[in-house]
Amino acid sequence: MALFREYAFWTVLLGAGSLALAAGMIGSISVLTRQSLIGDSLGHASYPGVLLAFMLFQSRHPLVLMMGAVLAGYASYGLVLWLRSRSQQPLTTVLALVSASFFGLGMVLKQYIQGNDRFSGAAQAGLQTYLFGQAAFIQIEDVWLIAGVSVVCLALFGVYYQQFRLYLFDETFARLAGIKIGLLRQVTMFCLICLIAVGLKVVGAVLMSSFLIGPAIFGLLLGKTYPQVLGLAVGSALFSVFVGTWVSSVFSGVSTGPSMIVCLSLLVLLAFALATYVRKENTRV
Amino acid sequence: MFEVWLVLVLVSMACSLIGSVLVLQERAMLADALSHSVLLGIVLGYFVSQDLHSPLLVLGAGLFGVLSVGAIELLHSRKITHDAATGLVFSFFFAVAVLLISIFARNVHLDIDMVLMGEVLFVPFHRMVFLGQSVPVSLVKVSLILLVNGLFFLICYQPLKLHVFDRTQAQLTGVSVRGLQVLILLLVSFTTVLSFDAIGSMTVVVFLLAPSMTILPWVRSFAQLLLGGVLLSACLATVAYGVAMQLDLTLAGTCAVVSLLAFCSSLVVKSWRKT
Repeated sequence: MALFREYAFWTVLLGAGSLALAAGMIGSISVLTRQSLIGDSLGHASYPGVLLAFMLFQSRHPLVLMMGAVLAGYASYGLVLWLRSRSQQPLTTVLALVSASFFGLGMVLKQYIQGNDRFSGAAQAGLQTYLFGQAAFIQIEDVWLIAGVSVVCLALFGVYYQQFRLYLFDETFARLAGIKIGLLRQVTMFCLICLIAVGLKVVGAVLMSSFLIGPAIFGLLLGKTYPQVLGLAVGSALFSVFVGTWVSSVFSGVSTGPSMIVCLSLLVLLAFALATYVRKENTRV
Repeated sequence: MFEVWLVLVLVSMACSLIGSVLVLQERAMLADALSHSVLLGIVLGYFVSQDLHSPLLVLGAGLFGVLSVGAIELLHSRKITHDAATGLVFSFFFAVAVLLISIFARNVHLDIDMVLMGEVLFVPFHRMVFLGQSVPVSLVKVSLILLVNGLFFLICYQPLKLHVFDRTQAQLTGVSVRGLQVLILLLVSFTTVLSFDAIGSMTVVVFLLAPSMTILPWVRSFAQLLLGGVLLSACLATVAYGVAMQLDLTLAGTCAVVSLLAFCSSLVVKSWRKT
């Protein structure tokens, strides 16, 4: 239990915990608007952004890499919208293609960085951890950045809370009541992209999307009102962040991202069984 | 290097054939989900057999392909939408696989980079004797899956066409829709696993979707889509091979980027011709 008295463990937990807090709230919006898979595309797409930022500025400062990830996220989203309007393909098809191709671009950039003398040395050592997250590589600057972004997202969510509730309950009604749906969508997208960009270091590019989906589904399965849903979502996210950070600190070489997602998925499975077979609230469609 | 190119072209052709059905049925997310979740089958098969070229890997991957679709259907309910269930299931399987690799398989050939990107350049080093000739193992594997996919389309062409066009009508005319669905699912899983050690799990998705999506605005029949997709995928693989060799880049990643560019330019040319 010496781990719980270590300074490094608590900094990591603080950063990951504040990420969980915001991810639980914003994730519920993206699940309820049936846009869960956009997060998957954005998560994969931000990986080449991180690498490009590293190549351009030759720095591993968290803020620089985050800006790269945010810009790449917006670029991929713009590309998805453009491709969809031009090709008459359904959104999911375009999302699947764009997310895999952007990840391929990330692979090309990664191999270019590894094989290039200009980037040799210790500077590129930590880039591998952006794939699956690694608690050991989270520094105090990362924690401040994650906490800052989470506070901004929570503040935006708090300001628009009433509007979001109405919009999630009934979009047409919200539109008639004079709520600017377009603005709410843009706020959601902004929060999603920023959270994914800072979450890369904790959860990693490949699994970041399910860190947004999982808690929200857990909340939706068990909660009866929207505040309850949010509370349960944040609770499950915090718990799995704790487990993931602990496992990743104790067993060296184990990434934080997969440990968190496995824990979270098991929680969702339990909630699903409880809601469907014990409480009989959830029926098949 | 000729063998590397040949494997790449054969993989892309096999993928584009079976991928055309996914694109037409608007089930592209299945490709994404399967390419993530079959990894768990591959890892478990590898732990049992300790050999990357064992048939157990293919069996495990097929099993987990079917299992993940079953799990998605099970979770899909009033409170969980279909896309959310998809996102949950495949990332769960993928996360378990990554955990298993990082805990148990630290110093063996199976590592994360290889899973994500493949190692098509190493293809000539794993050889076997086939009909008295020394050929790469991967070449035999991808030829086999291309043959199987081709046979499937030759035999099931008519029912498949009907099924893609109108599911209800296909059912009414006596086509076993359920059987076809399961067959397609199995073929996608097998294609994914047999091409994964060549091009990696991410580029498989691109190869499944991109050729058919690119050629779709330009064709008028299902047969044209299939033939055009196969030809286009061979061209894309060749272009990507040339670019990657010239600039010394990773083959799998270059294939993905080239395919996306091809899709974008096809749309640009199409809209430019319209005006």
